[in-house]
Amino acid sequence: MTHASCSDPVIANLWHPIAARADIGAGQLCQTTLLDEPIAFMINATGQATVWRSATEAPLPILERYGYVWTCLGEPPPDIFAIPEYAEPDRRRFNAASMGVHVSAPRAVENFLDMSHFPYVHSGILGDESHTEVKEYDVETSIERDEILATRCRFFQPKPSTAADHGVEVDYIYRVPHPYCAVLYKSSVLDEARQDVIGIFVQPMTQERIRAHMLICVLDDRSSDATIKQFQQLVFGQDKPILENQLPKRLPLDPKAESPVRADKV
Amino acid sequence: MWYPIAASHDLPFRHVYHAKLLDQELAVWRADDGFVNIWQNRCLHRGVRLSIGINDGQELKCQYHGWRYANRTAGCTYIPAHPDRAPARTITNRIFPCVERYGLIWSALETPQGEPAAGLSLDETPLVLRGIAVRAPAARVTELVGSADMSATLFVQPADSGSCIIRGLISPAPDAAKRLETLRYYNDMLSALRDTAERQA
Repeated sequence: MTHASCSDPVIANLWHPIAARADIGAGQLCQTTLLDEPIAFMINATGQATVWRSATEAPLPILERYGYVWTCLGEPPPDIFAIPEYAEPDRRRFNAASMGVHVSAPRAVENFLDMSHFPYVHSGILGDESHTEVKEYDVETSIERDEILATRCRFFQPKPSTAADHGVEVDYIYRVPHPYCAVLYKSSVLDEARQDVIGIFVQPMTQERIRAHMLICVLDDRSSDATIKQFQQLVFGQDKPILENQLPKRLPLDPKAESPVRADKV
Repeated sequence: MWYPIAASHDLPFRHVYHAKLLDQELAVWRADDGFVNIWQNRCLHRGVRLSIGINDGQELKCQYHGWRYANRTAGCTYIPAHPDRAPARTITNRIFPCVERYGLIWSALETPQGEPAAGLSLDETPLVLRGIAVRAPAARVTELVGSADMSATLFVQPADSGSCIIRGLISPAPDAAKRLETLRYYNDMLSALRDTAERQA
């Protein structure tokens, strides 16, 4: 299938998130943009979701995963990446926010994978100006799973989550299983053997505008949903003005156009 | 040629001023030693505007990852993610020429010959009018300014292809008692000129 908006078949043939299912009222006509193309979607009275191109009313494929509605403008793969932890019944799982940001999708994903901004952008929460060093970590590419993995990431955080009441050195694993989606695993303060899972699923509206859908899938037996959402919205609200002040908005393809350092290898 | 890109009073203590000249965004800041820096408005690391950075008096610090750039040289002095390693010398921001004169900050994309406002006999401390941003091409605004019947000395700063800023001086400066009245008068005159230019644009 060809379409006018997105000329990159790799991107056009991916599943992209368009909304959190919980945010869609039954019978409510919703409109959004995906890869420069206006699209519409609705959930009917029986809970069935449909998505279509606004211009032609041609139906689009639909997939529901992790509380989100996903669609595709090209030929989609059978499924998206797995997050096995999402099935664990004792986790708090919901969309923390769907936030519009005037930035390109690759810059938003890069920001999500970046530890060295914690002391500056999330000072007092995810970082502290007296702990700025990014220690050596490992990056591997899994051909089998078709994803990039960054492991052995460690960073001191004054308040790593709503369940934490003191600062601690947190272990992180980052997964990039999709060009515009990333999932992080960070040590749980409640259970040493398990990890909190937070996903960012970026909806590329245009090449310079996104909606970032943030999945929460954490262990927390004391905070309300509102408190957990507020925490994530505070963190992402700190990133938004930084992302919107990046020039150029699109991530340069030439690595020499910017100055990556060792901390940026993922 | 030299263009005014800011007024001296746009650079209060430890502020960073966002300017634009011929499509080039500029971060303009005065260090505590008085030196005025005019730099390309992006951090060399991840392209974040330095005009939202922090001027600590000696260095300009980026908001994203805390990279610091030195007064005068624009060289990166510190990368907090790797505190034990000195930044490569090549990490030096682009500097634009700067002259501070007549209460204005003057710059250009390449260093021009001669002095700012050459050929005009101006008092060294004139009254500086507020900059009037106009959404019209600089060439058209320059024509309108040239034909205006005003005793102010006016300059047009081309910001980009569709917008510019009128910067004016009253030389010599009027008596303190007349200052406010003078500022009001030229504000009205230049606002009307802006409206004319924007209606035509």
